Amino acid sequence: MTDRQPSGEELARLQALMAVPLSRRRLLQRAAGLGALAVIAPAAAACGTAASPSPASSPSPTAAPQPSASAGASTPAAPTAQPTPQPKPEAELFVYNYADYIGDTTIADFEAKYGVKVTYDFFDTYDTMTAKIADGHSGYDVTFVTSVDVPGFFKNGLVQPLDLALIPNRANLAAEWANPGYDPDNAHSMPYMWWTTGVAYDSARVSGEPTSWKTLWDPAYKGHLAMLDDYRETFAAALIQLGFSANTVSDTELDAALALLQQQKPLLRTYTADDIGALASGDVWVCHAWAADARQAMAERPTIKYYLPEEGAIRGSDTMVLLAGAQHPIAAQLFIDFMLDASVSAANTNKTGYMGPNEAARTFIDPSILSDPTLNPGEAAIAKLQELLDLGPDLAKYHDRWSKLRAGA
Amino acid sequence: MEAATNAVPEIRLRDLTKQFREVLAVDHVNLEIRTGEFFSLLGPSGCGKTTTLRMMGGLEAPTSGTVEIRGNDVTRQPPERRPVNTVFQNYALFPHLNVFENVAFGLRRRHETKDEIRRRVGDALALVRLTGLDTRSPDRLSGGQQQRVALARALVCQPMVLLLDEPLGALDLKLRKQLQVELKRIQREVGITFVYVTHDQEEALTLSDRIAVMRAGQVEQLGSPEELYDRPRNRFVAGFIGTTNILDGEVVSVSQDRSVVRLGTGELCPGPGRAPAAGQPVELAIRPEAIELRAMPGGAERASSLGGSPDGGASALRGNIEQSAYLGTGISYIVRTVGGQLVTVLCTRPADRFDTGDLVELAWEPASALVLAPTDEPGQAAAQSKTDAQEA
Amino acid sequence: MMRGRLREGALLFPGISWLFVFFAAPLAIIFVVSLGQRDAYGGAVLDKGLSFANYLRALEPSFLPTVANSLKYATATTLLAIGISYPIAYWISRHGGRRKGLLLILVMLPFWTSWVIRTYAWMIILRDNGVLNGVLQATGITHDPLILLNTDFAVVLGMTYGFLPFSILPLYVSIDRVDVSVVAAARDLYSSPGQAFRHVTLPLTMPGVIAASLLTFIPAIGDFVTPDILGGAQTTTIAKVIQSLFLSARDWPFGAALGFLLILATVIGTVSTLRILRAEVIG
Ligand SMILES: Nc1ncnc2c1ncn2[C@@H]1O[C@H](COP(=O)(O)OP(=O)(O)OP(=O)(O)O)[C@@H](O)[C@H]1O
Ligand SMILES: [Mg+2]
Repeated sequence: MTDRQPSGEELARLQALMAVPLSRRRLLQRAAGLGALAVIAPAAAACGTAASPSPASSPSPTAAPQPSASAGASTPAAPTAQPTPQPKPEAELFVYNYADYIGDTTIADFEAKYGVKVTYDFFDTYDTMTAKIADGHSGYDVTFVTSVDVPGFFKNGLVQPLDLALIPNRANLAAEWANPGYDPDNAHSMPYMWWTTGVAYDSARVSGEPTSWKTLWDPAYKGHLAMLDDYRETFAAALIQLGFSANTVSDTELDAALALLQQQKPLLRTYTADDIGALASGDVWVCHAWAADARQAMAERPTIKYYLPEEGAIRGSDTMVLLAGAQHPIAAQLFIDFMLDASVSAANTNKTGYMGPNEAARTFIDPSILSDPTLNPGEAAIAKLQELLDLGPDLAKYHDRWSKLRAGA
Repeated sequence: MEAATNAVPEIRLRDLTKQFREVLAVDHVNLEIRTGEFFSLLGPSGCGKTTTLRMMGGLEAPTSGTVEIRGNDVTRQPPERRPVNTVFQNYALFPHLNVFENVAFGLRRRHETKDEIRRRVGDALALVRLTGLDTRSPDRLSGGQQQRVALARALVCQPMVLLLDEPLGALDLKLRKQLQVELKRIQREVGITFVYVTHDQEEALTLSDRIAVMRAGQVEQLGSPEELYDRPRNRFVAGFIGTTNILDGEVVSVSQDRSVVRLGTGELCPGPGRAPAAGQPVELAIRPEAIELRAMPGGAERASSLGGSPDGGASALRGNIEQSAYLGTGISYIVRTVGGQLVTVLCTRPADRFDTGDLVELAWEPASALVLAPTDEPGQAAAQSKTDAQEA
Repeated sequence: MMRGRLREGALLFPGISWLFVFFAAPLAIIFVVSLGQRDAYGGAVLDKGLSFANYLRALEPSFLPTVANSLKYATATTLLAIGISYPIAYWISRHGGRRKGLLLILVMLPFWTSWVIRTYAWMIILRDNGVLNGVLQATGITHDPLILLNTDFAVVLGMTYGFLPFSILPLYVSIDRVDVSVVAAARDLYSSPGQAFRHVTLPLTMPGVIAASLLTFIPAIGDFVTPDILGGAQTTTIAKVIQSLFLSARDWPFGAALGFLLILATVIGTVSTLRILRAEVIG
């Protein structure tokens, strides 16, 4: 993701360009489908699919598997399976994360507290990370996975269940994060940071204060409108506008969304993977955008503004997971626990500008972040946010329509 | 030089000069080429023959000077507008066109009718004896056939002047001889002016009405083959045209019809009456066939005295036969004189047969020895040729 | 006889195995995958029966506009690339003198920089507040910024620029091989410079033109990145659809079917073009 690159806008943009299919969501889905890598051994892929209970046609948030159902089948007998009264961390820990996605002293503080030597590596794209952990021998213990991928990663045996006894700080989580749809009871993941997807616009070009998705369909801005090159996000924008669930699998609802998007297409300048660049350059006046990207564009072009449409919008989050092949599971889970500490979490937020799920941390968070509606929308707006869920085979319904949309004249 | 003085020359070059960066390829050349003649530019490699020819054809722009064709200044005219055609050194046939289309190329550019093209290409191919090869591709022709196609391609356009750049250079000796004859025949048949570039003196002598001998971008001497052969102006021309003995010496005495020259080796020999004053250095040129060999009494003994009386009839150098070669038309001997000078002699009379080591006397008519201009500097020769051109 | 055959076979072996490893084998894998089905998590499943169902989907008319886009961009790119490269290659060959090699390297130099940086440079030039619009407005040619980025124009520009080396090199080689005296002969035979070019230089460099066209057209047909980055909502190419099927939809069998059809069409098109051109050149 562009929004976490360390050194300067331009470099970030270049890297974004380099990793062409950049949008976060698309990468995630690819990762969830690591089974695709098994094309050379199709039987194995078939096996993996057969073993997992079909999430069925139900679009409900129960798409995540029950940990008890498949834990035995797909995870090694980890020491985390039994509660350990006196956890003694291993001497080392290997953490794999985006660059600039943590507080300045967090790692050092953890090392000091537990006497663990941490090797902390960055990945430049989500792709790199998923490729690296795909074979289960990456050598890393903890990595950061987007929430929608958690069920898929678990199904594919890439992550293992957490020993919640080692993570008492989960008590700090806000109620909405304690039992999230993508991972009930946080059995396999702990939330780290969250963000929203809404609309960014250049107030120097757009009259009034837009509040709706419809601004992205306004012919007045023809040639200066852009949607994200991300089919879940783009369909979500249409579905939400039509009053449907962003996770619908109803063909009629999806067809209606497709029709709406087809109607929009001639007005669009581009389906962009680089919303920051589109906005900051001035080419695009109204852009479907991620909040953190919008904030970065504002730094370059102060007239940029961001809003969550009144019809509702999308919220996404990153989680911390314990990798299947972890050699240092206790240190890893102590690290996850440490990251959920109120002051540590606040320090991370203060550094990165991303809001965490940590209720207890709020008192330590920089007031300017808390009061920034782009980063921290109010309760009423949050209430209208939807989370994108793993749709299993029904995802094809989205992609087929996306292909039609993109291919259409 | 004698006739055609009043007629407008077919081609006239005035002070024609071409400078390629640091190379002065052609240096103030003045030439007049007469209508209908077979004119040759003869000279060693790199002397500027091709460049001179290309400037006539318009393929190279002169640095200075002018080119006139039949009195019209064509210096600024592009090649396609000049009434001349070229046979290139390497033929330069169009590899993507067959024989017929190669020959028809110029006619098509001039928008001749289909029938006219067919007729004239047929005639041209007949003229060069290539009838029937119309559809061949050039890369499936022998060297001689390619040469003929190049010739036909140029002739079919009926130019006023045909420019030929060493057209036979790439062929073997036998084929070259054969094609020389044909070229001459064709020239007679079509009756146009040929300007022929070659570095082969024999070819030039055989074919040409007149020859310009070039050296380092300048014309050293201009004349008929006989003039060049018999009266080369300097050592360069003498050496370039035919085989010649060149003897360096000093004039001892000059009389009415003869002179006596002392060679560098100390030996005395006869020279012509028209010679520099006594005491002056001189270069004598004597053709091998002008020398007569006489057997000396004493058989195979080694000649030991600087014999020959300077005033007694034909002077006589003495020496021993060093080498002999049978040439068919005669025998060529190399004689080493007593003083050590090597002299080539060509005997055409079968009676005179000598063996290696034989002691012989060398004799020649004083008038057959030629006094060469005392210099080899190209600049002066050019100044000379310029004067010639103005005289003409 | 047998022995000759064997030796011939041995000589062909490296070429054939190269073709096999780098062309036939991947193509075969693509074909096999294209007969399979997609499973829930994006795997290609082959043991549930093979079928041509994906090909039926691929032939749906909804993909036609992207095929048309691809053809449009590849054709325009090829024509432009040849039109630009030919004079450059010609000039270097005829007037480069001793510095031909250096000039060729200089022409290629921009292409040694990262593709990303070059493309980004085009974005800077073409955007609404970019260099080109700046110049157009400063000179009073336009008043409001033109939309240049994210258009067909930008795609063709980016592709042409990107594929220029592929056309310059073969053209240079074939132009350099044309004997200048053959051109001089044409001039001598009453051709203007233009006629000499049309009747001699061009036919003789036709193999280079064909090679350059193929080397430009084929990668241009498969280019999904340039249309994606310099293009916009209306510039989707078939290659982009295929890429997205593989990477984001995880529908490998369908992507493979579309990809296989694209390769097949390209190969057939290429071979028949070569046939026609060869017949025309040989006559
Ligand atoms: N295009 C050119 N650029 C630079 N120098 C040239 C060029 N063409 C000829 N020269 C030089 O000019 C001089 C005369 O060349 P030219 O080709 O006229 O000689 P030539 O008498 O035809 O020689 P040859 O018998 O070898 O064909 C040579 O020194 C040659 O190197
Ligand atoms: Mg020459």
